[in-house]
Amino acid sequence: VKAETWEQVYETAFPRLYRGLIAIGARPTEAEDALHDAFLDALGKNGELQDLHRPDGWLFVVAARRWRRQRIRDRIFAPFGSAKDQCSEPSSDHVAVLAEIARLPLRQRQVLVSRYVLDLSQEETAELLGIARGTVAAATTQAAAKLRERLGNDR
Amino acid sequence: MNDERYLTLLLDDAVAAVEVPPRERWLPRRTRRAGIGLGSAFGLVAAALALVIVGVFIGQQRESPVGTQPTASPLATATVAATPTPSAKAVETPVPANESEGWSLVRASIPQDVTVLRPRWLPERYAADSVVVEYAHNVGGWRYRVGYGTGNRTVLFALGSVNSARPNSTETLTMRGVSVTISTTSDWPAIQAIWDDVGGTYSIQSTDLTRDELIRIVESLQPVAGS
Repeated sequence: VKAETWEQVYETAFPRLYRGLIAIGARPTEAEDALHDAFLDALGKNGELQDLHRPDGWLFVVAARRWRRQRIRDRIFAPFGSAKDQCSEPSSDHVAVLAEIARLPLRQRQVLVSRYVLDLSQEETAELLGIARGTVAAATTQAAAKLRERLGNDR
Repeated sequence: MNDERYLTLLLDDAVAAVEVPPRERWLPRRTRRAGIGLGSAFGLVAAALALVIVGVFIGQQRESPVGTQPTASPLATATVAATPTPSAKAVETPVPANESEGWSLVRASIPQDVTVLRPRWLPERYAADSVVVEYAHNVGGWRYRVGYGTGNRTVLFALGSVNSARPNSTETLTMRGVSVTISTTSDWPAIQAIWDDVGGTYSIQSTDLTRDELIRIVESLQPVAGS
């Protein structure tokens, strides 16, 4: 994938990727930084990713990985109090939904965002996350059941 | 409500309200500061591409002036000639191309019995655009998506399922002999048209088209002929 192609993919997909990262639990600044890192990573590959099926999915997976690493570093080095201050209480329905999604295991969050925010198929999600298609299906079912239990069926 | 629909609605709703940072913050600061580095490189590439597009566009004016052509007649009209492409090959990663080459690439990647629909009219603001063939392949059925514009000025033509926020308003019109659903959302896409035709479910999604422009585009669609 050439640099200019990456830029077009990145610009087209940025809103979905950003929202996807927020949905799996990233804060806005974390999501921005993680996407920047993923984009630079993609450019640095310099044509190594020729057979990439869904570059937007690849960007998401790499950004999610960067975000998790950064979060772990923050937890180690940042004072606990400051991190706590940055957590906001749910103030509306959509925030409440995001908060419930954030309580799901990371794998389920990644599957939900890949499938329903990035619009990846089950096969594409399985390939990008390096898991079996059956695992994608199972994670989806389990997440749906948990969210129905917590949020109700009528949402 | 099955799990698929439940999760689609739930996620659409939840992420739609997430505010995306302003566009100037999308690219990494490191590349923005890179002097003659990446940002300038993209600028040079864009300038070169623009020159090519202008040349191609001037050439195309003689046969299909996008943006100035009157509304085309329905599906029964002649198919649009496509530049032959040597071999059929799925498009798995986005490919920027000029308009004719882009549609030819899609046509060459999709079986002949599946209709590929290309617009013969677009608003003037899209007239000089190249396209990006995002994909054209068989993943759970034949699918393609071709994009014009960028960022806040985007229109995408697709076959196969696409992502959409929950519609705020919906209307159904009969165009080109089929029932077309036009809807608006508060997120992506701002407006869209969806219908079933030979080959599957087709859609046009955009950030900035007006309802009248969208209708005119749908009416202008013509199948791309094979080589």
